[in-house]
Amino acid sequence: MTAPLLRVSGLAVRYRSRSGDVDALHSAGIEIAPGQTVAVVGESGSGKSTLAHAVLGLLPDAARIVAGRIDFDGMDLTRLHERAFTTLRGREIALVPQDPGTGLNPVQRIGDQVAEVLRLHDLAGARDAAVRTVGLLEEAGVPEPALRARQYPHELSGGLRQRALIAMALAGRPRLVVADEPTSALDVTVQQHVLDRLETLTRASGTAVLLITHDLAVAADRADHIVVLSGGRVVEAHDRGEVLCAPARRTVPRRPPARSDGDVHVRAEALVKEYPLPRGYEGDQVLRAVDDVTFELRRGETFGLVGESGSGKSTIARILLGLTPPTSGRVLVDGRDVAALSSRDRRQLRRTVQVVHQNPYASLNPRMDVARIVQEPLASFGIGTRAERRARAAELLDLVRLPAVLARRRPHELSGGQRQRVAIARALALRPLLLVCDEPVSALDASVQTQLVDLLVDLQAQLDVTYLFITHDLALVRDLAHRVGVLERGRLVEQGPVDRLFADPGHAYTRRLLAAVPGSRTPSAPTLPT
Amino acid sequence: MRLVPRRGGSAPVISVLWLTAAAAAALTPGLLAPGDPSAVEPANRLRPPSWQHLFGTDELGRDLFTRVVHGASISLTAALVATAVGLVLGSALGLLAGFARGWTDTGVMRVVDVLLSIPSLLLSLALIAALGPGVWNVAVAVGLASVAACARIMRSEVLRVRESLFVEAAHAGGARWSRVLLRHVLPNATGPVAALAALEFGAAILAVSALSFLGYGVQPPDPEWGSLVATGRDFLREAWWLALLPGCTVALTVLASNRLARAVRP
Amino acid sequence: MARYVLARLTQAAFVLWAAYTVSFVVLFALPGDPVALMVGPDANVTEEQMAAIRSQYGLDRPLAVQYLAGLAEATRGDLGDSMQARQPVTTAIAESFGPTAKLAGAALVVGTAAGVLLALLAMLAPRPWQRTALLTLPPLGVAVPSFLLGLLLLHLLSFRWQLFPASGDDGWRSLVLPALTMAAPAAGVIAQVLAAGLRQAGREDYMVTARAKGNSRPRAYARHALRNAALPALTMTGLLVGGLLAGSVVVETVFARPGLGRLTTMAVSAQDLALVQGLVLVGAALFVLVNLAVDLLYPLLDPRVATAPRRRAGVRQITAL
Repeated sequence: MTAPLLRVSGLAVRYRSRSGDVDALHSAGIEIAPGQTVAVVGESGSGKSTLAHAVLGLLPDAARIVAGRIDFDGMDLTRLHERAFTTLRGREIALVPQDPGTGLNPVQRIGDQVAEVLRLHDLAGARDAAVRTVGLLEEAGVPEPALRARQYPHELSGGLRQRALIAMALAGRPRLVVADEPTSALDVTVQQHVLDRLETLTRASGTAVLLITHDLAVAADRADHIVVLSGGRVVEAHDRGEVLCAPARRTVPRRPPARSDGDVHVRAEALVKEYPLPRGYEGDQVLRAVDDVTFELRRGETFGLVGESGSGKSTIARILLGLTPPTSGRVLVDGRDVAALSSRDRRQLRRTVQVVHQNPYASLNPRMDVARIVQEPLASFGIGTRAERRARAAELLDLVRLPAVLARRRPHELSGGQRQRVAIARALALRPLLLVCDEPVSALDASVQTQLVDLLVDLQAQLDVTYLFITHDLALVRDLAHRVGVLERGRLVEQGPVDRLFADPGHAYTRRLLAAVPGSRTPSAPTLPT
Repeated sequence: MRLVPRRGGSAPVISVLWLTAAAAAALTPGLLAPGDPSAVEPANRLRPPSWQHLFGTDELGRDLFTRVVHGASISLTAALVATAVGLVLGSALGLLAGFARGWTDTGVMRVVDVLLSIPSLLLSLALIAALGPGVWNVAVAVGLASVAACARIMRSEVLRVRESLFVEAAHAGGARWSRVLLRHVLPNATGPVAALAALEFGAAILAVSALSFLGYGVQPPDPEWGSLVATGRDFLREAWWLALLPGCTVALTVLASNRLARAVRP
Repeated sequence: MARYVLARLTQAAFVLWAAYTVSFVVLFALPGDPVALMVGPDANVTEEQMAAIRSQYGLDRPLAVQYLAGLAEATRGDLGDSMQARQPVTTAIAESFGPTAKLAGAALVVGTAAGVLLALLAMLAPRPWQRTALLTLPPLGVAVPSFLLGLLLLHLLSFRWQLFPASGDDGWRSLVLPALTMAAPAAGVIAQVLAAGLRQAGREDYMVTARAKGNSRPRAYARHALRNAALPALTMTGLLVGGLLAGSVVVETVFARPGLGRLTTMAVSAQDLALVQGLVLVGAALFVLVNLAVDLLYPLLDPRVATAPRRRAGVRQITAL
């Protein structure tokens, strides 16, 4: 084997903070040969981003390398002077950052930002740089590159911006590209195209890639070698094709069998929701976020509503919750039109429809402790005495498997998974018939996701509650939904039983979504060890 | 709201100590400076600061430190009145605009925008021209001139909390408007409002003392910080302490309340 | 674009009308007799003479008539007569405008330069204690009353070391101390807003991208962070200019200079209501003009604003975000 291009050995990084020192990495080690792609996989807090920033010499001020070496092409980067490192960055080691929405300077043209790499490293003069920039953008898969080069980041879609960032990273023909979660902010179909392009370009130029990701499936698809980080240590390392020792994704779905006798509980009929756009110069425009959507929820089943960002799935949730009225169409609950109800009846109806939001950080009142948050809906409806409510809160926390000691804590003292359990407990307080789950686990790490999905499935079996499960993640839907609807730009393009839809997708968009799911390249997609 | 600030080291603590001392001076001036602020001692005219006269003496031989301590009462009370006027009226308008939305919101904010287009010191001066001079008129004028800024901040605070996810969750949980307001919106708006109050208090001290300096506040025999500076100005050449030391007192008090505003801001 | 400018001009006219109305309500409609205030309580004036003065200034007409007549004259550029100066309000203001404009202009230039420099130095100073030390200055500039700073500068630079004249308006030397006094709060505000903006920008992902491309830290701040951080500071300009005008009231008193500030104190002390109203209108007009200029300039600095109204219409329905 050739000498490695990058070798990280025994690296330890410590963060200083007011509450004491935190070690983000303990003696981490990886090796990358020239032209090789190595994936570093881990959940949030595993130290994978710290590793990426250490390799680039861009650790935050509070972080310090306390031990170990980073050898790149015979130099120890941990001892490299900042001035020398500046000439290395962009030329020898480049970065594809995580979020294309924020990774580009919003007030500079795309072309100027790409050309800056060439100018900084004296690879081209001003005019030459502009010409080569267009070529670089084209290579990165940006259509109409000359036009795009003159545009600003906000005028491009997320996928195009990420391609521009790839063009920028490869502009200096570096020998190593650090790709820090390059696609985790993108929709799956876009993610696949961007990763394909990155792979093609780096393979062609013999550039080594350090791919940082939380998604083991992405790593398995793309990398020659996979390193799993956990708690700042390397816990596993595998070559491509080796079967990971992590348990394979469940082959038996977790969902309980749908009740065949389930009658229609909620029916959404021809829902349309339009939003006025900010007034332009010529007439009023509307954005049709939900376009003629009809579906039914049967009692005790889980209906999965799948769509990419901007597909209108959250708007549908808000309509069902009565938080926003539809422009046209109606919602029938047990055969009664919600809009025709008196305000008192509608308030009573609210008791039977509850919600779990996507963001567990923002959906809990920071001023209340957990017990009060869970009791809040009971207090709103004046149910029970104070003591009874307290008892019910304890019962609910037990139901979502939270230890009783957390009852006195405030939201900011809890982990993301714990907060989401609190949100579920609150939603269940009124014994609802329907629970709208709007991306309930997408902000959480994979292992926490699995636990929460298990919890939701068990709760359904126990409480006989109907779920409307809204997500962008097809794999989740397969795990727990009975029926699925696929949304594309506000339209429900296909719906049906989950097994049928996965085995024999009827609509082209559904097929595209399925094909783009990471892990589809390997026979059995692995999951992270829990 | 956290009383012990998370950041900033000792500066907020010193600010609190200074403001406490200023409040003590305003409430019980005799405790800090037992002497009589208007006791004339012609033999001791224009003496520079010394251990005996910490801030020196003025053109009539009065002890300047005693006069500054006794002046705290008028200066701080006037600033407090101004802050209360601005904050109460401004918050009421801001709450109204933030909650009512629609035409009420548009109307209120139009008026607020117009008021903001007039520099606040100029607006205070116009009010004084109409009301006549006097320390309470100055206080009311300064307070009224700050209504618009308070209203605007309050409205944006209300909108921020109103649109937060936990308020939506409370609605979904069946909470009525009054409950959402009392249990969810107001408790989460107290921090910013406390910060705003501290900031407005600092601004009010500045404005009141500036207007007193210009001669619209208390009339000479009574001590007040701004008017002490105005009197001292005539003796700047031979007795710098007469103008500069009361001026520094104003500056430090403003600095302390601004710093406190920064510390309590969530 | 033309429609946008027209809309903004209409808005500016509305603000001016509203400022006229607000100042009319404050000055003329509040209970109180301006003539009695003008002549003072001790003056030996008969009821007939008071009535004569009232009718001379049109104060004996009903309020609505006074308001409408005054508004009609104001649109023709006539703001009435100053009772004190015994000349038209517009003439009195025009005579005082020059010195104040010169002073405020100098203060704006000095204040902006000092503020920007301070903010940049505070972000880029190599040692943490240097940054901390530099960052204590802006709050000071905002908290120190200008009468104190003015008197302090007088005491040190004029009386003790005799570098600059203490008062008057002749030559650039007499401009230095008042301009510095007026610039300090402006510099403090600019430095605070800009430092906050730079700190915010320093945390943004695009700064990591910029560093990863091979920009050094100072270069990344100068080329990428500064322009982003300048946007919020730019929107403060209107308030800043208004603040300078208000500051001229104190500064011109301290340094005994002629100008709008002195005119204001004289008008307020004499309760010359027409003149006060004229000065309030000048303040509002200045604010409106500066904001109009900033709004027209803004799209040049922030492309996200420029393209928003240019969004192609015609498509009645857009289904994707």
